[in-house]
Amino acid sequence: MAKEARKTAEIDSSTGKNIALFWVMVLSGLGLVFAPPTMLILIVGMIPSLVAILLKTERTGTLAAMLAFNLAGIIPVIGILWERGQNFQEAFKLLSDVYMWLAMFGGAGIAVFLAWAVPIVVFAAYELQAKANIAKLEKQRGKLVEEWGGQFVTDVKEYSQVGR
Amino acid sequence: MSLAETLDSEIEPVAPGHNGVLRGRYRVDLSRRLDFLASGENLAVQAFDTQDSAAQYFAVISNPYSVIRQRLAERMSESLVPGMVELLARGAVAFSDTDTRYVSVFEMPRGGLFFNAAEGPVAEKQIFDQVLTPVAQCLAALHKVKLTHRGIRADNLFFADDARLEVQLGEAITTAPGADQPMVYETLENAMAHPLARGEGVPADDLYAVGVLIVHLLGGVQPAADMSSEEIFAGKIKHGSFAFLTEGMTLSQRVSDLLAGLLQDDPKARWTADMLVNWREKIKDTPRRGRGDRRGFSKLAFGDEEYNSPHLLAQAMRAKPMAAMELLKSGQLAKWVKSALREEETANKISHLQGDSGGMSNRQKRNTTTAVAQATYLLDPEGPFWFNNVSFSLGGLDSLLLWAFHKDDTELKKSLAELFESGILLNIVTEQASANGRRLDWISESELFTCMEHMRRKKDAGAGLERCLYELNRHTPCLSPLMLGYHVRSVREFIEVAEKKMVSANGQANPFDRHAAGFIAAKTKGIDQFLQPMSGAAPGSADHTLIEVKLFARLQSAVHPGPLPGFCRWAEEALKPVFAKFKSRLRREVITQKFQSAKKIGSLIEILKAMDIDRQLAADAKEYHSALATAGQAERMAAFLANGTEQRRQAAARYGAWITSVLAITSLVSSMVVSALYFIG
Repeated sequence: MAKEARKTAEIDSSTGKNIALFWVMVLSGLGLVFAPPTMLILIVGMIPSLVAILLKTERTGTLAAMLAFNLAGIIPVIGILWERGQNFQEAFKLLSDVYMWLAMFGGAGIAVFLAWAVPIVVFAAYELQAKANIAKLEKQRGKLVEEWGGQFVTDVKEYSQVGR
Repeated sequence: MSLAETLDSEIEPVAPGHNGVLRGRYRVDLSRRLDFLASGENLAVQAFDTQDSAAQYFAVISNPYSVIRQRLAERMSESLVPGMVELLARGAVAFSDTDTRYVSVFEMPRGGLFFNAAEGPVAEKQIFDQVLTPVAQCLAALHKVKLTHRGIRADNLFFADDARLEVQLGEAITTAPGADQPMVYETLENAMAHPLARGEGVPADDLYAVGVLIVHLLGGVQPAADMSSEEIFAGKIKHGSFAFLTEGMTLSQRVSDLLAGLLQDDPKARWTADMLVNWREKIKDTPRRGRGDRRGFSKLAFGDEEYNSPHLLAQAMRAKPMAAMELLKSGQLAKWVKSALREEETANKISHLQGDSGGMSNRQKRNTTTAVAQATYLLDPEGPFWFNNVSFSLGGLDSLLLWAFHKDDTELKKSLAELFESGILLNIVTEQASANGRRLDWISESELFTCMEHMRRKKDAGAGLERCLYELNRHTPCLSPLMLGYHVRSVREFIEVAEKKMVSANGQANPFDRHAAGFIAAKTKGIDQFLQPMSGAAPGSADHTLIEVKLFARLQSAVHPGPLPGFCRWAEEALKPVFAKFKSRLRREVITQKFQSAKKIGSLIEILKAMDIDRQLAADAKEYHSALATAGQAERMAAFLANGTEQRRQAAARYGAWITSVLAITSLVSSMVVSALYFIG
């Protein structure tokens, strides 16, 4: 049953990817025909994301975040290109500007950093919360033992065993 | 040293602060013992009248296990019984803080013992002139009010005056009826009963003893003194008491007539006290002599001998119960009774014992002892009742039970317990009552039924043989080890003495044992509601102790409303296991504080009220259970948190990815919007 469900999920995921890839191919084709300089900037700027796609990371969320951050860095550069007339000369000029590379690849870098750091921070917060809760429970147990005596410890163990 | 040995030890002199005076008048001098006046296990000492220095008295100090014949004592207290020592006073006397005894004070027989074996036989004239008249008058006075003396013997006959002219009988109230009588003085009916179980008997028993006394005095030695009880019994049965006891003696006609009337074996044909008073005038014909037991027309073989006397056969069967059972099963006994004794009804009853009919249960039928006991009772209904190693005359069961406790005779106690438990006596009494249309006066059906019920609950406190002891001996003091030496005869006295003991022992003594329970239960109505729950709790357990405290609280409110600090101290010690049952430290401390406050009042009732112990224990148990549930849940939660690192890591990864995605989409949208505004706008 679980295998069938997993298989179905894999089929659905594969279908979704194929549809996305189809639209990417269509848009890329149209872009190459109608706006080749923009596509040049876009393809060059998206190199980190393309590398990540080629590495086939299992973490879909991370890849999507990288695509989004990468794209967020590329959009201002395309804006500058379009402002300067959208031709190959300007496109190459922009590509020769190190700040433009920084803007485009920086987004991807931020994505990589966040994908690594945020789970660690969240885990640390979880750990702190768990330890605080354990300390609170220990304190509560200590109070009960103080009130009900040493036999209470043994009885609690028996009670817990019976409860299980 | 056993309990009985402790009691039998020498009495210490009167302690300072205790005058050893009875009723504020009769001073008992423990240092002056009068052994010739002692009876049974009791001591006789000299007593003085504080109001009359010339008077001479003696006091009998009763052993706690001795029977006091209340009816006879009451009669003697009411007025002087002619021909018998005068009872002046009786009651408990304190000789020290720990020694209170029951004392009976009598007028001293100043001339001493009438008979001295060393001086040889007593002249016939002296017997007729000095002995017969006072003895006959004494018996006539007692028999008139349906009382018996049961202590007529040579060593209980005294000269009342210094001149040794007036003779009187000694006392007979401080021992069980007939207990001090030599076996030869007893009738065929009582002879083979246990000496302490001869019972009050009938007036004819006293007359028979007078006959033996005359033979004793005339002969100068106790008749048949060198014979065993069995030989004496067999001799009397075979030859008749008169012939057996006077064998070899030369008797005048008047003595012979007198003895023939007094030693008649048939109680109905025996002389009465009134006849004895005026026998010279009233008796015209020579009395018929007794011929022992009735004889059967044929003999029945049992063991190595043949019997034609039902008395002797019954006695032989009691000695060999297994063989008796075989005889019973063979049917020969029933046939013999029917053909030789011509008693068809008795024969039918005996055949029922071996058959499958009758009112007995199967278990009882299988019981050899029970069957033989019933068979011997049917053969010898006037004789002592036999059961295992117990043999008692009518009315002697109560004193026999007391004797069993006195001697701590395990076998005897066991037999008595089985006797009560089996219900055989109850069956016989019921049968007798329905057959005769009247109840037997020696023991009532209700008493037997009560004892049977107590024996069925013998493990319970306030039941068993101890309860039977106090039910059948209503005047016996409490024989609990804590009470011995104090002559405690009421629950109030019990509480007072126990309080003293508690105070001196700082609460370390135990006021409750089987004797105490039996005594209290026999004297107090409605106490079973406290005693019965004790059976469900082990002695010494917290539950048992708590019931004990409740019981004594009830008794305090009923008979001793004053403060009992000793009991409160005892309760403090005894309730420690109960306090330990409180699991909550805080609750325990609060309860202990409440106990200490209530203890100051000296009231067990207030202690129980303040503690409200049952409710508090229930609340404590409930809260403990709740705390266990809370602690269990907390422990499981802590364990879950301690072992959930990997789960948290996975959860953090998922949540981190979600946060990153949100940030990414937000930044993408922001970039698009800002770029659009910047470049287009």
